[in-house]
Amino acid sequence: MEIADSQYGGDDWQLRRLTDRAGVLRHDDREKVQLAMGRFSRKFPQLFLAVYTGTPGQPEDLRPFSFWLLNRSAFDDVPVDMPNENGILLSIDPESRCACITHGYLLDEHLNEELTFNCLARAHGHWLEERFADGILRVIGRLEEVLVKASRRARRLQSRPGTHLQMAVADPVKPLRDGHIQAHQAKEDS
Amino acid sequence: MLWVALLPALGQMTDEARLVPLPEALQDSYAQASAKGYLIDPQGLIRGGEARERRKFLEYHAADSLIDLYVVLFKGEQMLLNSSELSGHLLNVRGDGKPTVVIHYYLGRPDRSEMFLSAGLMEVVPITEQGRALANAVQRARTGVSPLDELEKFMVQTSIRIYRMERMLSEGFVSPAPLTKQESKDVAREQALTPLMLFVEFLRAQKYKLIVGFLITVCGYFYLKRLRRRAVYLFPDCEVAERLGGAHAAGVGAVIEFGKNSKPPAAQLEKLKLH
Repeated sequence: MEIADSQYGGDDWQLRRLTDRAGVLRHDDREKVQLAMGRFSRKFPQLFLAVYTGTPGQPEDLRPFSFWLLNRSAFDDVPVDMPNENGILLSIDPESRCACITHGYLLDEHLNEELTFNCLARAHGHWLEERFADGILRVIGRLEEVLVKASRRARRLQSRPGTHLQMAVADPVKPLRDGHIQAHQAKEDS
Repeated sequence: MLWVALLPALGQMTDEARLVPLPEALQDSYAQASAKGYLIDPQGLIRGGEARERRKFLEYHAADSLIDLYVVLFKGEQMLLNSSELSGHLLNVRGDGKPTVVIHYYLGRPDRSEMFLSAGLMEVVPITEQGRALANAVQRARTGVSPLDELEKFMVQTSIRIYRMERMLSEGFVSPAPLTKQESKDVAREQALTPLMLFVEFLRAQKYKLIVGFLITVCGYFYLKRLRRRAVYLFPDCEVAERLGGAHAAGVGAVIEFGKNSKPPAAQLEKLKLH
C-alpha cells in the first residue's frame, strides 16, 4: 500500500460510484449502468458496486491502481455506514484496453481471481467493439449470479455448527474505518 | 306430442299385425330337421353356395369352440307361436349336455332374432350378457347390404360373442352389475377410441380443472419470479486480517485484456491458472 501511495498519492480521492474519467460512456449509457448498479444495491444491501473508467498511468498498473483506489476513495453516493470493505470496484482502462475487478474484505471468502475473471470475460466481446456500457452491464449481471450463489452457500455453511461465519445482518451498523469519508465531512476536517 | 310418443308403439302394433304364424306342418319339419347340421333351414330359405358357406362356418365354429351354435332360419314375417318349445327340443336332441346356443333368425329382420342357451350355460352367462350379445349381433347385421349379407355378419358376430361366453365358462365368471344405458354408451365409445382420442377426450372432460391448474401455475410462476426479484442476499461478516497494508481491500481480482491483439479470454484464463 505504501508503494501504491508513493505512486498515486497518499490522499483520498473523492469519487462517485460511477466515475467516467475516460469519457467512454454516453448519457444514455450512464443511465443504464446506474440503473443496474441500483438494482445490484437492492439485491445486496450490504454491498456497493463502483465503476471507474480512466488511465492509471502505465498499462501494467491497473491491478495495483484498482487496489489503491478501493482503499483510498471516498464515495459520495454510498451510505456512511457502509465501509469500502463492502465494495466491489470495476476499473476499466480504455487506453491500455484492460479491465480489473477488486473487492473488499467482506467478499474475500466468496470471490476469487477465477470467478472475477469469469465475470470480466462476459464483457470481452463488447469491450473489443468499444461498447463499454454493454460490457459493464454484462459484468454486473454475471457478478450478481455469482454473488447470489455465494450468498446461498454462505447461508448453508452458516447453519452448520462450528462454522466461523457470522451473518452481518445481526449487526448492520458497522464502525467506519479510515478512508471512507463523505465529501462534505472531508472538507470540514481540512 | 302425444301422437309423437305413440307413433313407435303404433308402428310395433302394425308390425306385429303383419306377422304370419308358422304352419303346424312346418313346425314338424323344423323338429325333424333339427336332427342334422348346425344350420336348420327346412324351408330352404338360403340355397346353393351361400348355404354351404354358412354351414361350413357353423361347423368350423363347432370344431373350434366349446359351445355349439345352431341357427334356425325363418322368413322375416313368420311368427313362431312357441319358440322356446322348438329350441328346447333342439337342445334336447342335439345338446347331449354340451353348452349350446340356439339362434332363431328371421331372414331380413335381424332385430326379431332370439337367443336360447342350454341350462349349464344359462347358469354362467348372465342375462345382461346374453342380451348384450344378441343386441351386438343385431347391430352388426344391420350393416349388411342384403338379407344374406346380414345373416353372415350376424353369425360372425354371434360367434365372437360366444367366444366371450366360452371364457366366462372356463373362468367360472361372476357376473358384474348390469351396466346402465349411459355406461354401456361410454364403454362402446371407449372401445372405439384411439389413445390420442382418449387423451383429447380427457382434456375435454377435465377442461375446467386444466384451465384452473394452468392459471394457478402461471400465477405461481410470476409470484415466485417477483419474490426472487425482490429477494435480498446477505453475506456473513468474518474476521479477515489486513493484507498488503490495505485498510479496506486486498481482494485483487483478475485483469482482462481486450485489445485487438490480445489473447481470447479462454487463453488468458489458462495463463491465469498456470500463474
